Amino acid sequence: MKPWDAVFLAAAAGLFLQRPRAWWLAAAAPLLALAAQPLGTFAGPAAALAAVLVAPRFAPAALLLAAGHYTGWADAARASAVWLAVSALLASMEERFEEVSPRLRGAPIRLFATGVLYYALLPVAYL
Amino acid sequence: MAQVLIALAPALIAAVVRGGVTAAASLAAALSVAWGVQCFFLRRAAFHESALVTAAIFALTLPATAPWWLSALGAAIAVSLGKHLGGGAGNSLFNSAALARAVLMGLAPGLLFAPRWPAADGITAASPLAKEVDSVATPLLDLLLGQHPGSLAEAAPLAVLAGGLFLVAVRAIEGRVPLVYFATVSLFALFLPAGDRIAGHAPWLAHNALLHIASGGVLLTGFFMLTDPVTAPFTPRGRMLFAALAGAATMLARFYTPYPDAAVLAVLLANACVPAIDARTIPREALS
Repeated sequence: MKPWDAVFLAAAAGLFLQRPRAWWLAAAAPLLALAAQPLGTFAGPAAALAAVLVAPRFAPAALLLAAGHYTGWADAARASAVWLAVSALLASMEERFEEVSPRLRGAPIRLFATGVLYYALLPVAYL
Repeated sequence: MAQVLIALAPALIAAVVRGGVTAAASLAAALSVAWGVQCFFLRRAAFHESALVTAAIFALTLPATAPWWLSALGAAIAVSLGKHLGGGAGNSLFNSAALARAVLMGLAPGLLFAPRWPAADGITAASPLAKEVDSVATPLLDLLLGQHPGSLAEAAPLAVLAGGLFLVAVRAIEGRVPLVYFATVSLFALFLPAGDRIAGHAPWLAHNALLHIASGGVLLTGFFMLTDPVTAPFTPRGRMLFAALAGAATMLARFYTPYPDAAVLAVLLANACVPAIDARTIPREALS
């Protein structure tokens, strides 16, 4: 999976999870996935296991982050930073999500905002 | 809203003069579809100024030779997704015109986001902001007169500027917002170190504040998008931060990414930051 897709799928998944105090530890998942790459065929399971252990209560988001194909440490670090920023932005928008028309509250408006940020931040992928 | 329509009129007229029948069809399609979609959502046929303003601003972000159906599709997205499904009337999270443009960039990047836009005369040439191997510098006078390939808003930057100044003069918008945006764009243009693409292919884009203000969507963004009261922060200080953030994002994308112009994406990013800006700028006693 492309790192950019993994980051935003993880951010979307995080919206539907109860946020533990140390949710941000899931940002280590891309770095762990990259570190596991020399393990060859065991890289995927090892990265998944490490991601779950790092953030057990935020495991779906961490697993999605670990599923990205990272080409280097800079790539993985950028994915971690973008995921942290997007997750924090989406968390700050929670109050606004409650103000939208009742038909849109919940999953629709959250996924919509995530989709908009996917494109709005796309230039960062080329930095 | 009527004042905004009046302010947009010079830019719309200039776009039609430059783009001819294609531009006129594009604008007509956007305005009529936006009106129809608004009538559908509100279930009554009336003069919906806000939908027309959104459609006009969106259409001005399109290339001069954009087909009418693309304009119609974008206007439908702006009013339906931006105004109604994206939060509901008065609660939009994102600027509707910028949102429609971003959605179309995802759906039809070849039509909307080519570094080589067709000019009104049909000749394909690089945008003044392109950072390509064969890019050539555009003189500032040509930029101001719209003598270069680009969007309909770039057909007459002076007309957009006149419309914006009119809005400031009649106090329909807060003048500090475009001022901070243009100042941030200028400061970044003057002091940001040039990225590899600029240094290698388009060195005239470095340290050239006027070029960056007059080209791309900067004027339209500063006067007509960032001043949208629904998607901007509540406090004056918040709106200054919001405009500065949009300016910084616009210039970072121009300097360090292959994007020729990402002003509309900067607007969406700034919109997403509004709750965070409000949380830090609205006095606590006002919240309680």
